[in-house]
Amino acid sequence: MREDSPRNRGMFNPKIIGFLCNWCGYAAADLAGNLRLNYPSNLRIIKVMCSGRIDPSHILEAFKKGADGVLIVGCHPGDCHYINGNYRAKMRIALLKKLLQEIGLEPERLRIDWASAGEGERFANIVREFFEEIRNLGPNPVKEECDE
Amino acid sequence: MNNGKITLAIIPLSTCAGCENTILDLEEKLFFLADFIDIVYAPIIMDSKPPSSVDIAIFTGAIRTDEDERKVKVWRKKCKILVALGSCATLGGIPGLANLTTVEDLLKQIYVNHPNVQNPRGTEPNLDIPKLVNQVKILKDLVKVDYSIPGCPPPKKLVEKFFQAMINGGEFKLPDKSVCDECPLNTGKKKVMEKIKRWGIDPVDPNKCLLEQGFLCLGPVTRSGCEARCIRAGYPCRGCMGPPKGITDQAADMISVIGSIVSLDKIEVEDLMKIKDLSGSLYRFTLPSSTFKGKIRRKLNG
Repeated sequence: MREDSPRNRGMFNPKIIGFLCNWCGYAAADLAGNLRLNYPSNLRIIKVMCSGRIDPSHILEAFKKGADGVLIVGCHPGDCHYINGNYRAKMRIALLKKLLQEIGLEPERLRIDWASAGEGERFANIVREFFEEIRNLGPNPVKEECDE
Repeated sequence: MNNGKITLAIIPLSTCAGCENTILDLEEKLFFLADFIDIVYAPIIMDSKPPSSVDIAIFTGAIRTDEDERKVKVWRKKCKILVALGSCATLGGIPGLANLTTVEDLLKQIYVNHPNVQNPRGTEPNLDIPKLVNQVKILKDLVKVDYSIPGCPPPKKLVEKFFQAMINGGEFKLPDKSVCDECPLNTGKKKVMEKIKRWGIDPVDPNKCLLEQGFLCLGPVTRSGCEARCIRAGYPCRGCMGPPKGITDQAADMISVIGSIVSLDKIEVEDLMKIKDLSGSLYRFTLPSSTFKGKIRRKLNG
């Protein structure tokens, strides 16, 4: 499913930023690639060492610069390479979603999920699901707002 | 220059006059300043005609009306140094919270829907006064600002330092560190938040870090310079000095702080969801200078 494939032509092509943790999320994406699994190419991957390293301001900046959705994939709860980074990420994302709701951006544009290094299929499914969700939500309204 | 003195104008925008009070609060130091500085125009303090040019123009208040916008642009041409004084002028301040709603909703709420108002015909006042702008802006978005002094009201010491720098030709810089650095309750040990408490309802221990007790204190993401005056007075920091150097969005960083200090055994996500009015408490003084500058309004598809 390329962005400019005949199936996608004329439809809204969201930009999705993916923050993947080095130990699980990114490894899962790697595996999905090795398994030749199909998932939307709209995902722009940024590798971080741990999902707990992602600062909410990184996410707000991504939205401001025009991302239609932000996906964070970390290790399953209890499996964090740094003991509890993913729990901290979960807390931050929950609060940030509440803040986004209050200032008028759909909290569904932000998603945090877990995939271990062996779950390439699960990772591809997460991206497919999220892609469909963002496509239904439509373009991010923030960018035009901030440019004026 | 007026008799070799620096001429100064203090121009109010949408302000509560607290910033002017800070200048008057310099007390006997004002006599020392009067030898070097001549206040030629300050409508809130004294009556005089606006001069054609000044050396320093100090702005207080937020840009809430179209008249404020015009004033800023006109005075930028009249002055050599433009100073934003106070949280409203530098960060948006309390008037900036209006960005969470629209002008129409706001007027409707105040003149029609308010429980204390009886207005069956739903008429709104129609006077020939400056119109409210849809989005409260900060001075930096409109014109070049030479110096910014945040704070609600700005700390006396910073104002004094600024005037001294203007007189002696020295450099004026805001402190870079956070309020925690000056806070008397900061022990320097690792902080753990074990409960979420609400200010005004739960009891407070005045000798323990407020964040550790579970109150929302914006100290870690607020610029120092105020000497933690609110915490010394027994009240949590509300973030009036704005974010310190290197931080752009106070709310985002405060969320990061909460995520870092909560005890994972004792606090669940559901407990965090109980925090009331997140945007109002985390963006209290900085909404117009935050990442999204206010509520995201969708343009109607036309």
